[in-house]
Parts: sequence; C-alpha cells; structure tokens
Amino acid sequence: MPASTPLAETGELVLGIESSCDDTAAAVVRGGRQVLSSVVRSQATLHAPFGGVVPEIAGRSHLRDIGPVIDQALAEAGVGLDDLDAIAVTVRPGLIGSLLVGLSAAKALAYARGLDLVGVHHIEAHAYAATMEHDVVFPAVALVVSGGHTALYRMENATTLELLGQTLDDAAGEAFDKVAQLLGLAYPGGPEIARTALAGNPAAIDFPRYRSKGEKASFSFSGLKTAVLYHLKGGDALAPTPAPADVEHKPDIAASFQAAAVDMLVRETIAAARRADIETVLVAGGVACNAELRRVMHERATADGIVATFPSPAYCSDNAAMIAGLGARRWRAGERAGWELDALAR
Amino acid sequence: MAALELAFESDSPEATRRLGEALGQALFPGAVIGLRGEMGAGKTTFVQGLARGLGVPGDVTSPTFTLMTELEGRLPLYHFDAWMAARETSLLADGGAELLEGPGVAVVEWAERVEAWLPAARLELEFSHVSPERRQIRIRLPSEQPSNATYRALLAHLAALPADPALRPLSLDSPPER
Repeated sequence: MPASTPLAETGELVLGIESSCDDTAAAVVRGGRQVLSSVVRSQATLHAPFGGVVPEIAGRSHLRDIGPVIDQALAEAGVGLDDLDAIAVTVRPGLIGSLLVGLSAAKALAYARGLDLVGVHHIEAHAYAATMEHDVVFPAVALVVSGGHTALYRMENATTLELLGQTLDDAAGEAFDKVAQLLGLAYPGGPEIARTALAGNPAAIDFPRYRSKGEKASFSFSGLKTAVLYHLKGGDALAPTPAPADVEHKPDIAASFQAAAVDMLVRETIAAARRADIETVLVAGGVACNAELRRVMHERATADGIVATFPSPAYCSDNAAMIAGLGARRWRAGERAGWELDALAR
Repeated sequence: MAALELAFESDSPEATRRLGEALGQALFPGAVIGLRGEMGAGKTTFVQGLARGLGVPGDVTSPTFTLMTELEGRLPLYHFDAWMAARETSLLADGGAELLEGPGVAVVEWAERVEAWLPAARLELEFSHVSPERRQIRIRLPSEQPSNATYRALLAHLAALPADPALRPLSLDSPPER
C-alpha cells in the first residue's frame, strides 16, 4: 500500500505519549494519519523566568500533567484504553528525567491493559509528521531543525530514515536563541527574532553563510552567531560587547541574521535533494514554524522542480500525534517493545 | 589566588583543536576542565580537539540545548554547557554533579555560570577574541589545592608541546596585540 493512502476508519488505534522536553503531550491517532485528538500542555510559562527549560521543573510538571493529559486525549478522541491496539511513546532523545515520566506512564498503562508498547525516536517522528497531513512522493529529503537538532535525512518511505549530515557545531534553533539574547529578546529566540525581523531589512548586513564542501551535507551556525557578535562590537574583536539595551538597528540585525540562517538551511537541503535526484523535501521541527524559512524553501524548491512540504505549525513543535502516527506504522510492521524499553538522552 | 600558568595565541579553529587534542591525550580519570569566554570564542571548537585527543569517534556539537553530552573515548567525556545557567544548575543538582568526580573527564562550557558546582582542583581555560580568526587562550589552576599536582603535570605537558606556528606560546604579561 502506498504511504500516501489514508487508512480506512478501521485502521489501528494508537495512543501516543511525548514528554522528551518541556511539553507534556498525548494523542490518539487512527491508521497512522487520522488525528482523533492531540493534547499538548506547554510548560513554557514555568520555564520562561529561567531563560530555558529547567529539567527539575520539567520532570515535576510532566509527573503532574501526564495523567490528565492522557485522560483528555482519550476523552477528546471518544475512545477508551481498551479500544487501543498499542501505546507509542518517545524514548529518545531528550532530557532523561522528562522522558522517563512518559515512558513509565506508557509502560504502566500497557501492562495494566495488556496493550502492545512501541518506542519511538523523537526526531524520526518529527520527519514522519511532515507526511501525516500531505500525500508525499518518496524518496524524500527531510530537514529536521529545532533548538537541539539540525540534520538532513534521506527517507525511503515514511518510516525509514538515513542520516545524510548534520550540524558540525550549533543547532539552528540554538543560534536563534543566542542571537536573541545578544539583542535582548526573550526566550525562545526563534519567534522573537522572526517578529523583530519583520520591521528590518534582510539585506542590511551581509552575514557570512557556511557552505558544506564536497558531497556530504553539513551545517554550521557557530560562524554566523560569532559574526553577529562582531557586528555588535563594531567589527573590533577586542571591543566590549554592548548591553542589549544599547544595540541599535535590532530589526535589521534580526532580519539579516534570519536571512543568512534560512539561506544556509534551504541551500543545503535543496543541494542534498538535487545530488540524489530527489524531488520531495520535507521540513519539520520547531524551526519549521519560521515563516521566512517556509517562504524561501517553497520558492527555491519550486524553481528546481522540487515539492517542499511542511507540517502545519501544531505538528512542527513537539506533539504526540506524530509519536502515535509513527508508532502505528511501526506496530503495523510488527514492532513490539519489551518491558526493558529504556529512555536515552541522545 | 589564581596564578596564570600558560597562554597561547591560536591562529585558527584547527590550531585551537590541536591544543585541545594535546590536552585530551594527557587527561586522566576524574579530570575537570572549565572553559570560559564569550560566544564564539572557541570553547566548543576546543572540545572538538579534546575529544579527538581522547579518541572519541564522530562529531562533537554544542550541548547548549541538551545540557550535557556523554561521549565514549579512551575515557568517557562528559561535555557540559551552562549557557542557560538555571537549566545547567538544575542538571547538576539532579545528579549531574556526580559525573564531575566520575571515571571520565568533565569539560564545562560557560564554567563561570556554575562555578559553585565545580571542584576547586580543576584546570580552567579562558578564551578571548583577538581578531575574527585569532584567539587568546589562557590556561590556569584557579586555586592552590593539594590535589593540583596532576593538573600541574598537564600544564607541563602543554608547555612542552612541539613548536606550532599557528599556536604560539605567549608571554603571560603581554596584552593581546591589535
């Protein structure tokens, strides 16, 4: 059966559980694609005062929220635990203390109700998310780009990924966060940079763009981040870094930085697709919400006869629908995890 | 009282990695290395070399988001990053600090942000920008400790490195050249 065919309403029913970082999420998906419910309880407001996710807080709030979030997902889907075929849960990568909350809940429910258990890789689920809402022609090149990851994969089908290359230093989302801090913008930096950039000129500053050499795909955002710092120092490495309040022309800096980061992401992705003669590009992960990335990727892909597909914003950021979806496909392929299933940080 | 012990000027990221590699080759179980210096000063680049010297296969990327990356080499390498200080403090309080006295080597980026969690006996490197390519790297023992002898041996090892035109020893009192 082609990956693009939605399963009938008789497809397997899977509960997905996701708690790898700072969102507690549960979802019920039928047939790997039909989302019956998707509940995400964000902890962002708890972490904002600390400028990032605090693992201890994350673990505690997952523990508090996991039960209600699962109950809500089941209720919104109108199903009970005994209707399920399997429970899929994120097992890697992420913060161990957070992953373990979701994994323990999944194991307890599966054991108590005699359900199958499937462990899911968070990054593979992000890539799968791009195939849930759209009919995708494989093979595809998938760019997974977030605060912790920037990597390109070759996908033979919706569930098989092969790493083509990744960042040599910082993730793209991390560069957005660090530049946002230099400009005195709030965490997380991506939406703030995008908002500030709206009023700026993306051609105001010609920040350097890293280019991979040879055939292997790679990214690097460290040089761009440092170039922004030098710009703030007025080009003098020995000058002090100005306080964020004293930085002038923030919109131009944000717009020029964003243009350079987007250009690197798009160029490398399109180049990888062209090298392999692949006509489908999928983009997923939190940074896939960035409007400029969407615009430029669509524009350049179209110019090269490539179709670029993004999940809708709700499925770019962390969610459990993608976990249930990929889990369903793996379950259908016969995959079952044992009780020894463990969480891994990377 | 922190005594400055060694300083280098590096001409390139690769020269910075070579210094890290030389240190990595000499590291012992339980060693703690603190790295200071602002964004883009070469901390992660240095750790890439350190990992090479420890025989870690594969890429070393920034652990800012993941807070700590464990890498397998001749000794385990625990790569911490305290850019988000509250997150890293929480990780250390949650048991991460045990890795600072574990069987491996701990290297901590943005060490000044979690200084209270670091053992007094450690090596500390401070990276500063000299030009877009050049960096000054100062290496010292932050305080006098009975257990510093092993770290002094590391300093002696670095002081005796073969001449490298892209990695020049500096006189300790000289300000960075323009």
